[in-house]
Amino acid sequence: MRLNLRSVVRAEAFVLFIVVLLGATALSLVSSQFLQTFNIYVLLYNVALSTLVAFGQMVVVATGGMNISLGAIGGLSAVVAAMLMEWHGWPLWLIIPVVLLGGTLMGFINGFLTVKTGISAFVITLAMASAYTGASMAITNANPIYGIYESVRSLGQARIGVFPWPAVATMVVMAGLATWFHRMTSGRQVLALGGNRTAAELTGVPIGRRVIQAHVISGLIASIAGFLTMARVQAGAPTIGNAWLLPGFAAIVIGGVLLEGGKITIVGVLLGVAILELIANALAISHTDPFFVTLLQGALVLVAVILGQARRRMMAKGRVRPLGALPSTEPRAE
Amino acid sequence: MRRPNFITIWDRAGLAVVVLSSWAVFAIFAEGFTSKFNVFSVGRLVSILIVVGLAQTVVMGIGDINLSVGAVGGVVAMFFGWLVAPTQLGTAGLASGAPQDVTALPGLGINWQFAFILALLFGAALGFINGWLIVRSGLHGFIVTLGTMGVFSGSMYIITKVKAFRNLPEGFLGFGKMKFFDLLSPLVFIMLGVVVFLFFFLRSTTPGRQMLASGANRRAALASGINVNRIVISTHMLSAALAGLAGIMLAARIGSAIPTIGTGGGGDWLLPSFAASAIGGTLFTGGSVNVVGTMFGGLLLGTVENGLNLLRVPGFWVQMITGLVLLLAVILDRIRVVAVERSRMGAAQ
Amino acid sequence: MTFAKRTRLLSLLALLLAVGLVAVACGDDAATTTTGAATTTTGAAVAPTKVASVAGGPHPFFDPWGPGTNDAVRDFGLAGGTYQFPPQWELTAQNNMVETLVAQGYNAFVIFPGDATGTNALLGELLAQGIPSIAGGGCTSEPSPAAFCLATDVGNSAYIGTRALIAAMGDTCTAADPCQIVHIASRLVDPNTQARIAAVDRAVGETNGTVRVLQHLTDSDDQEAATEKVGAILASSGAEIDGMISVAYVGSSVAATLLRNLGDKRIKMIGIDDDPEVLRAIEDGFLVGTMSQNPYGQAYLGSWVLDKIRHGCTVKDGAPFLVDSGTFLITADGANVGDVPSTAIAEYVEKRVNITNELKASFEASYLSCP
Repeated sequence: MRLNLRSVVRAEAFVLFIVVLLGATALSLVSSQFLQTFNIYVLLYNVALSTLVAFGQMVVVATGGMNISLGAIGGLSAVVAAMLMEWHGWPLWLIIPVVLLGGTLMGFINGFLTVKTGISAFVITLAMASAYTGASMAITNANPIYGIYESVRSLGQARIGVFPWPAVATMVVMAGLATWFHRMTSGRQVLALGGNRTAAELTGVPIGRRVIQAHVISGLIASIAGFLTMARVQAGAPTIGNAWLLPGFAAIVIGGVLLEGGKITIVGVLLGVAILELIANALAISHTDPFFVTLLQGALVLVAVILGQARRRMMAKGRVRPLGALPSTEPRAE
Repeated sequence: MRRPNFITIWDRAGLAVVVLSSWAVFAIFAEGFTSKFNVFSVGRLVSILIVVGLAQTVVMGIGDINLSVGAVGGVVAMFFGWLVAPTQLGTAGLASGAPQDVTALPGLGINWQFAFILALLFGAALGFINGWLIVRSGLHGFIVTLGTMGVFSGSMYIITKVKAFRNLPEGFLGFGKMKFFDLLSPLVFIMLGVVVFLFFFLRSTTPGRQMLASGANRRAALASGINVNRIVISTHMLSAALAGLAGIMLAARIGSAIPTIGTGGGGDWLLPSFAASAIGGTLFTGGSVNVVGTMFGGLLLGTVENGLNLLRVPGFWVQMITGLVLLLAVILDRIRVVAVERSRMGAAQ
Repeated sequence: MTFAKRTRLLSLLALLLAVGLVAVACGDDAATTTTGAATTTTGAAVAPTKVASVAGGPHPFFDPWGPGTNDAVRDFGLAGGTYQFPPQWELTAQNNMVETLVAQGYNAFVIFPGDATGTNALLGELLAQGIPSIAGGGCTSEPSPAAFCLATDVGNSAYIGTRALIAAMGDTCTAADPCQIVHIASRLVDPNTQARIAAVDRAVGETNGTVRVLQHLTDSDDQEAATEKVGAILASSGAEIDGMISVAYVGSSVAATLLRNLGDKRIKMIGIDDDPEVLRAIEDGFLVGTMSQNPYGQAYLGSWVLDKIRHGCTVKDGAPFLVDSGTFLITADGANVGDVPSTAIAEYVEKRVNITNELKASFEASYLSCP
């Protein structure tokens, strides 16, 4: 019991969890509105979608690369889905697989080009991002497509109390990623090659195939996020995904993912997203003067990461942390 | 060494060849590409892009990232505007009965050359904040500059209420409009000056070499007695001063200091700065910097879109094709690298 | 992978890309319609007018600029016309696009100012080359090299809209228990936004404390951002909100959708522009009304005025810079909202055509002096 508790406190995600808890408590004390069902629902919805975006980025970052085209894939997926509904009237059971396949394909193109040309994922996905965004703009002529099905509209609003149904997709992705990274060889190999490519290659990891796999999964997650965002905003807008890049990175870095690759934390990313969304919610509840929003967001991100770093240093003092120990299952203590 | 000549030349000039051949294609097929007006306006635009790229290139040299290039550029441009704008808001030239411009701010009205120096120092001070935070916290530059980006821009929004500094001194504005040989903007020469300076700084001076050494292998650099922390801070100061310079160049080009410089309100300098550096061959891992490459990377980025527009490619497709052309360029450059590797292997055997 | 294999693969990729690009470029060459007009001639005769309408970025508001420009080319016999938007909302990208169009021989511009101050420098350089311009959809700050600003008076539109909103909330607002409104606005750094915030505050100030602004929600002009921000304020303060005024196109559409989803007809709202979602929400009673603008007329009239100016007309002494391209309130039935007159949804398109025609009929006499 004692040991268990200590490992919980030492887990990297713990401090994030405390920050989330303190933040939520403070907000509920300050504002009577915070704990209302609808507010919590909106908050959870934001967390669910932003977590998908952050996961999409995390998967490629795990290989030591990055995916600049994440938002572009999401946007194009949303636009294509809306286009198939409004202009072609395809049935939904056909549209969803086609859109997810499209995201997978775009991810595959990214991964294939990165591996086969040996050019950095940043450059490849940057170039492909403008290609994908250009396609969204060309399809829609910068206008949102509104003719999406009633079933999709209601999916975008479906909830039980505070729980938004689309969050199920996030939970499925989360479980899938946890299984892949911690239980399956291919996922472990991705982490291995992200940590030390040469060593991984020497132990027989098929580097190219694993990198492509990571990009494919990233593309798939991006298209899920794009489809759900479309369902939420009830329009296939080419602007969907425009602003996914920096918040996605911020969430995974706060969560404790190494940008150099090789280390991920699924729970940490979820908590990182929660911190960012709590900040946004606090700014909304307090009716902050718009002029202060940019400053506060920047300052709060800085404070959050510097506090996390300070704790990490304190923990490191005196004892060497086990390297690569991932909080794969969220430990619970009573 | 059977076919070394061709390969050696290609290795040295690879990206330049790609850039020049794309220019040749545009010059032949795109009406107006070589017109004096086009050369002037593209030159002016590309110069700013390249200085922004270089601001990123130097931090990439130490294996770091500066997300705040756009924010620093905007804040420095506004600081410069505040220094040089007239102390009284003029009413000259307003149509009769028109209200006084509510979007303009008064400034201090000091000499613009002096203000230019002050503004660059101010930029360096912002860079010091970035570097100091990175060194003291031990965090990656990515996350620190993500935070300071919001802090810098946000503070500027609050102070200026997003109003602009207009009526900048004539001498300074003339700088943005001036043409040499009816063809080249002085901004081009500033950019070339920066390129030459950085090229020699990184190659031939001790601090420059120490910078690259710290980027290549931080531990080894520490072991050999380099004060890595000081290098990190001064590199960020250099980067921010360059970003500030780009901001002032843009202010000269658009004739006023506006709060959207660098951050654009939607698009911004971030991705182009990385793109110019990465296309130019600077690595994210640090230790290797290609200043001239960044210049050609910027040239490629700046001219491809211009050329495609001139080819009358429909607006919506331009962005898509720009991406594909970019891809083509880096793949061609990659073929060069592989070919060079092969010829070296062949020579070694 | 061996080097030889890699080189071959890379070359193949490069070749594929190159062929694809050439194919696209050629295809587009054929597809683009350019009226075969001689580009700038240096002779004494005025070169035929080729007008370009350039938006500030990708945004549905500007969509009618395309037909507006094309119809002007057809109706007034111009040599060519095009509607373009830069891929991002960025002044530099817009400047680059305009300069490219100049290099292509376009010699008259209707431009949405990417920045009220910053765009003036570009327009000044155009004027120095004898290329006239009109600020469309929004004004550049004065003094400006643009001949006119053909736009909605943004301040006035926001003021009228807020007045209508206050009237719609009616007697429920008292000094003891003031109504609270939310103002949904576009980009914070857009000077128009500041003008609109001032106008909303002014209309609210005139109520002597029976109405107050709960929050100005800026940067709410794209689907995702607007859904998050408007959703958050409805979620966190829904009960405190009595009314919403949106001066952002996408923000209006998103807020209309959110109110519909909530099934909330208690919160009164005035939107802007005629997005299909907004009109549907008015018909169904979720919105009180929307402020009409006239983007088609801006491009259509702008092109015509520019042609006039290129053929020797000058701006009349004392003519105002801002010419209102048509601002009025649209409601479901066209009944007045308080003292703000409105037009029914069924009639607003016709009204806009009439405004455009009236403006054109009186423009030359009122604002131009022609040889």
